[in-house]
This record gives sequence, C-alpha cells and structure tokens, in this order.
Amino acid sequence: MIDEAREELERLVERAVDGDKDAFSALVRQLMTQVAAVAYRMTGDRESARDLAQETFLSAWQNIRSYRREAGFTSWLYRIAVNKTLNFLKANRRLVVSDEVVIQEADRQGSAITPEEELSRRDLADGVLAFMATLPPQQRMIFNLRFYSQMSFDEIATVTGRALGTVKTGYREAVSKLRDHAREKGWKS
Amino acid sequence: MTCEEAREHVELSFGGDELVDGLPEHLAACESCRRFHDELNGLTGQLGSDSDFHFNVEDAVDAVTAQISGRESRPVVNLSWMRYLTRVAAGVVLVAASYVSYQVGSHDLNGTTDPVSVGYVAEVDSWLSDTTLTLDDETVDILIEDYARRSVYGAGEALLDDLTDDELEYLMENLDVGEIL
Repeated sequence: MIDEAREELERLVERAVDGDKDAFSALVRQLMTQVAAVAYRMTGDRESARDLAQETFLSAWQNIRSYRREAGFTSWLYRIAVNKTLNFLKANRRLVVSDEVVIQEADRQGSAITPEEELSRRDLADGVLAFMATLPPQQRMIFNLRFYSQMSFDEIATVTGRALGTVKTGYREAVSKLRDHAREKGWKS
Repeated sequence: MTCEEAREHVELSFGGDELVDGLPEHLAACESCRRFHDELNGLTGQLGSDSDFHFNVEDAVDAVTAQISGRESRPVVNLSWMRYLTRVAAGVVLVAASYVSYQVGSHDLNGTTDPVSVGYVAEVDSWLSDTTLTLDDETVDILIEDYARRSVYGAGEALLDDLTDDELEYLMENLDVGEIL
C-alpha cells in the first residue's frame, strides 16, 4: 500500500517535471496539509502557514525542472518550505500563538465532539504551540520534522542543511525542554 | 550500556525509532531510566499528530493551481560550461602572472621586494599596455637581459642570496659552485 502510494507520487513527480500542471496540482493536493502543518507549528499562525505553504508550492513549480531525483521530491519540497519558514520567522522574530487560531481549529473538529473535549483539545493545541515557542527556530524545525513529519535524522540533515550530529543534538535538547515544559505546566503523562 | 547512553537513546527514539539494541535490557534492569523512558513516552499523546491539523486543502490547492496556470516552470540553465570557463580563465591568468613574475623577478624567494624590480615591473607594465608589443621569445630575452643589466646583484650572487644554509651546503658538497658562478 505504501509502495503503491510512493510509486503514484513518483509518477506524478515525473509528469510534473515534464511540465504537466495537472500532475503538479495533484501533488499539491497530496502534500499541502503536511507542508502547511509544518509551517503552522513553526509560526503558530494559520494564515501565515497557508501563505508559506502556497509560496512553497509555487516556488517548487517554478524550479521543478532543476529538481534532482536523488534527493527525493518530498525532501526537496520540505527544504523549500523550511527555508521559507525560517526566513519568515527571521523577518517576524517570534512565534505567534493566536487564540483565534486554536478556536478555529477546535471549531473544525465537528459537532460530534463534546464541549469538554473541545476545551481539552483547545488547551492541548495551545500548550503544544506554547512549547514550540520556547524552542529556537532551528531546534523547533528539527523537532517538527522528526516528531510530526516522522523524518529520519538523515533526511532532516538533508532538508535543513545541518550536520547529522547537530540535528541529533538539537532533537535531544528539544525533547529535554519538552520534559521540563511538561513538568512545569503539569501535563499528565 | 550506561545510564547516560540509555537516556540519550531514549531521547533520540522519542516519537520515532524503535529502541536500539541493548536498551530494552537496560530499561528492564534500571528503574530510574525506565521511569525516564515512561515519562517521555507518556508525552507523545499530549503533542498530537499531523492528523489533528485541519486545513482547507481545496482552497489552498485552488489558489496554487490558479497561480501556476499562468506560469511555466523555469527552464534549467546548464551552467556547467561556465564553471569550466571560469577555471580555464583563472588558469590562464595564473600562468600568465607566474610567467611574467618569473621573467621579471620582481620578488626574491624571501618575499622581500627588490627596488630595482619594482621600477622595472612598472616599466614592463607600461610596455605591455602598448598593444603593439608582442611577447615573443626574442622580446622576453631582451627583457631578461635588460633586467639582469639593471639588477644591483650579479646573477650568481642573487641566486646564492636566495638559498638557505642547508641548500648551500648541499650545493657545496655536490657541485662545483665556483665553476657555475
């Protein structure tokens, strides 16, 4: 199943590299949520995340002919997203933790969720973003790619352009900070 | 496996990899590390996952599709030949500079500047700026001869000044220096 999905992705990439816009749109549809989720956890702002994700795909389309297959399309795409997001954070200096975003997110969960659950999810989402805000951008990116995007440390090193050792150290530090943060905030294990 | 190594592996495997060889045994034997492992593992549920992130994909896809419809991807410009051209140009400049420097001898081997050479180089530069001058063998011979005539050193003296004591000793032992001079 996973192999089939991978083969389908590769076929779409091949066609997109040849200039097929429909194939590229299909790639956007498949990968948009992942890219936007990374940007959202980095910025804490849904609008910025959407803009960054769109910019990532536009940039990918414009440069798709220079994509080299050995890196893997997803890694290549994430690399663009990482650069755009880090540049955005450099320009904006801080993570925006917006209550409105959290409320919007809770609203989208649907009516099957009880108010208590909604409140709990809201607190949780808020807590995660608050924790993310305590990490420096590079460390936040490493944690994001590892924990949420489930990338290997090697892939993260490729995507971020950092040495493997730096990536591993960054992740360990982030996990250590998570433990401290959870204790401080009284998160239940 | 020490406790420090075990905790390092626990942190690295957080949210991802399976435990490395030897770690389960260590955790089974060490209560402190086991608590550390369990505490971290318990936090994974608090962090949620990408599937918790809800996003209006269709709007975003439409926006991207609308924007790419008017744009073609940029053609790949193969600049590899530029890289070679730059290298060749750098090589030519280097060889030319070495050649002129060697022929004119503006510096001795100790890196100090021979005042006669400085003036001479300036003069040669002005000659070279004259596009009618051709640096053929005959011209180069004239330049060398002219330089030797102006130098405050005799050719042999300058050579000996440039040698280290060890090199001089080697020459004295192996060559008839007097004859060379």
